Amino acid sequence: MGRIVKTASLMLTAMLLAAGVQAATREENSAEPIIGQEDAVVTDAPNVPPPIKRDHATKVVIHLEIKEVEGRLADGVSYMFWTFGGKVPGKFMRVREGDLVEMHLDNHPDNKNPHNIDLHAVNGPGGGAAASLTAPGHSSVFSFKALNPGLYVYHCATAPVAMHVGNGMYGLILVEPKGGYPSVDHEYYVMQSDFYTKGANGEQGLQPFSMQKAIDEKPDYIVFNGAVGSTTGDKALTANTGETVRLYVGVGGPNVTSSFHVIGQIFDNVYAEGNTSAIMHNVQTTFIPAGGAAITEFKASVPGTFILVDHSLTRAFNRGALAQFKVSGPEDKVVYSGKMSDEVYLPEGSGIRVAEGVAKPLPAAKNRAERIKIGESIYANNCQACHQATGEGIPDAFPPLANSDYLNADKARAIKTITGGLEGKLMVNGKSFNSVMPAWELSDEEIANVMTYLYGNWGNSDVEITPADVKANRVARAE
Amino acid sequence: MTRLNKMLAAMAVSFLMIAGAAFSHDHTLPAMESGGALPGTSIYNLTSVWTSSDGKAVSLKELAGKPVVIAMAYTSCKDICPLIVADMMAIEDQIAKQNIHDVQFAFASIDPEHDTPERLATYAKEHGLDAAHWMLMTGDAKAVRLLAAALGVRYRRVDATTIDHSTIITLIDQQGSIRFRRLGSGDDLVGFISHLADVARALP
Amino acid sequence: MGSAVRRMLNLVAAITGSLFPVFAANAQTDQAWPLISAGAYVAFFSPSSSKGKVPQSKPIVVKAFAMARNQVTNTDFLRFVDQHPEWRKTEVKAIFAERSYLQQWPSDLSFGAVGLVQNPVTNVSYFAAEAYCEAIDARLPSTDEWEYALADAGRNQKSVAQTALNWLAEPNHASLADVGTATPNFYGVSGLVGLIWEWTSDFDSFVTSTELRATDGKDSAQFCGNGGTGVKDTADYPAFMRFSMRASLKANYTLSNLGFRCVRDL
Repeated sequence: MGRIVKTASLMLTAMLLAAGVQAATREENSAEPIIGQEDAVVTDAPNVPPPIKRDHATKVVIHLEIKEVEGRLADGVSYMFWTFGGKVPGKFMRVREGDLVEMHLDNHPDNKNPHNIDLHAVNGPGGGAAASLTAPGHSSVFSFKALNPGLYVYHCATAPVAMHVGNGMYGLILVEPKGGYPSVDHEYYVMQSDFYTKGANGEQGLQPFSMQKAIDEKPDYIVFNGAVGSTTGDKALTANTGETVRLYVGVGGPNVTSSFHVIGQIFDNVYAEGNTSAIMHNVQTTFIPAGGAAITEFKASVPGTFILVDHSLTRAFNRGALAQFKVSGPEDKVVYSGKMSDEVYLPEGSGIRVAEGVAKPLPAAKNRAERIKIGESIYANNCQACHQATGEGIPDAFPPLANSDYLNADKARAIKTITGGLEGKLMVNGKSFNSVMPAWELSDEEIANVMTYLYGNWGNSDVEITPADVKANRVARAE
Repeated sequence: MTRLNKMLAAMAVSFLMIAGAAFSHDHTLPAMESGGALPGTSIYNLTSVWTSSDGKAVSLKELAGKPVVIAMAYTSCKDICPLIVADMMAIEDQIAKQNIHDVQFAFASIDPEHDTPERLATYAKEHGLDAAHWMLMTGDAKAVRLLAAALGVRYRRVDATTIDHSTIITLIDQQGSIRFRRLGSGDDLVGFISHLADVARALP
Repeated sequence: MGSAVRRMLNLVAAITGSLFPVFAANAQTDQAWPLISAGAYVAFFSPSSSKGKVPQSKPIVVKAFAMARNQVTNTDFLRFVDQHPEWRKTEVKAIFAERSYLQQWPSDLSFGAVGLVQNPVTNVSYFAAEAYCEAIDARLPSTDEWEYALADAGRNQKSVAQTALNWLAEPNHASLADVGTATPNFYGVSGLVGLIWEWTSDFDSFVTSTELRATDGKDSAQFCGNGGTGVKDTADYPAFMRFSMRASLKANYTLSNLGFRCVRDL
């Protein structure tokens, strides 16, 4: 008898699909026969139970233990979390449309408060909350049929609801459509939520819930998966290049919505609000309401660390709404090249600009020693900014003047460099440089002094440069 | 109340006193212990004294020995209480059809101020509740509170004429343990009656 | 029992200490039963007047009564079960108290370490609390009386709420604090919040829907009556929590964070 009904319902489904009608209505799901029973596999974030393989509805028995536990909210900040299953967010549950779910809600005897559960997947008063108010040390049981597929939030609904939710009582239940979702390489569970503490963000120690901030909607923390940094570093989500990823993303609230974005990724598919029929493609940032969810999919085309954020950005950078996704594997420079070059950008003229020298008029130097002495202050006021205090330069940017083969090989060329400027590729002491040096508007006397200072220091050749040398080799500048 | 019932009740009380310690923390569905001692889950452990509609002092224990269908309501309630009594009468009709006759129906008032024994007697007459099977009771505030606590009946006086209360009909077995609670109204009584039949037919 | 007799017995008890449990008397002085004076009080859930009118919070009059300064302690309760064997841990009937009744007591007539002498007794059911209060010529407070005492005629309510929230923010400690350590309020009552939840005589009488999200707050298929209910202050989260806790309880439940105190009529 069961098989006949099963075949009949399969045929009906096929006919309906052929007719372009939605595959299963509530009435069909309600009428689908329940075959067998199984205990649910439930998981902590960021993990997700495996996809459902069976092709029939069954009775799924779920035990959720509610525990009030002290835990880490941020570094040095602890909080009394109220949890479904010991952690925030609560356990991820996965069933199939048409399943009969038998929910056992167990309130640990050490807890101070009564709790219940409202699953958005339930068609019934309070989503189950009316049937499940449970005192500590007791257990409630109720069952419901999963009539509608989709990704649904569940949460405690005991008054005051905003406080129960504000303390971490939410999670996700996935009701797979018949036939499931297309397979991907990785599935992850991410839930965003807001926390309200008596102290400010970052204030250390055990923080009580702030009722006033919750009422005023002024959260101190907005986080993914229950704590600042819960999903970063060695706890980041992972994939390899070329793999497909599906994120089941919920927003527990209590108040704040999410502009969900993964920096550096584009969602190939978004099942907005967890629905199963209207899939959007090529989405950058998807809106997830409080008490809502979305399924996002992308392919990890290139390696790197990609940041999950709420794109209301101070939430990410000041309140903790930030998680990491690390993709490993070979680069694909065509898709993303990384930095190709780092050039100086000068907005006008030939690219060579004229730098007016900063110098005070001084009496002419009488000898090499005086040139060096005067040259030192000319160097400090003009050249040091780029070439640094002891002529070491900056690698990849500004060549060294210390022990410089370029300087020592050809002093005429050095004079031309200072008076005419220089751009383009250049080798100094075996390293290549490609920057721009401006032409310096300094007098022959000043250039002679600073050059004598250069040659007289840092292992250079000790020659003296005279104003006559400078005049003879000076590059004439176009006006 | 038949002589047999009175004897059973007396035996239950005496055995309770002697053997009480052995039967504490009895959380399983109790079978009838030999000698008829009250199980720990029995509501007949409540010792309050009530007054029945014929003015006699009664305690709940006197209901022992038969399945009992009990509800708490009040006679001047216009809203759902008439439905409660109607449902109990419907249960009475339907089990008679199944040839089950030894069931007791009990109505305990949550409004002792107004529901005097006379008022209860009038109410019984108005509804055609025959005295052989129906016990209507009124008690002091404490008796009402303790029975409601044991049955899980919530009630709260709203004003001079209205008391909000839960709509519950409870099935009690021969030893006084709660076997089934039917919450709300409007559903058919098939489930309740099936449980009642099981209890009525259970071997002693 | 007359108050003169009670006072005499108190004196006897005070002289002999608690070595000789005195029948139906609690060795407490009048300072232990401060007077809560009569007053008007707007309850958190106020039934409206009947017949479908717009619910409004009607103030009620709470008559004067005496409230125990502190919760009932292990010592108090031991004295009680010594005199009333039917309320001992191994004797109590399942309908009156569930399996966890006094589970933290090592035996019928011992509550364990000496350090727990002034700890509030917990894991006691409604029926047990009722019986204890009756045995000392008292009764459980109604919810209105209890909440009225907490309201302390409007004094320090912000601090009261914060105490409640702080208590909820802490993990459980190895043992509870002793009764009476919290500064008494203006009436002279100590520790109504911040230590344990407390039984009231009509804990289960709030017939509003336990989720308290529906606008009229009622689950009308289950509950008879046509009174609507209003909530006095939706920002009073600790009050919501107390009412949710009461709504989740059944009379034979026992919880490790739930005890009680008694009151007396004047």
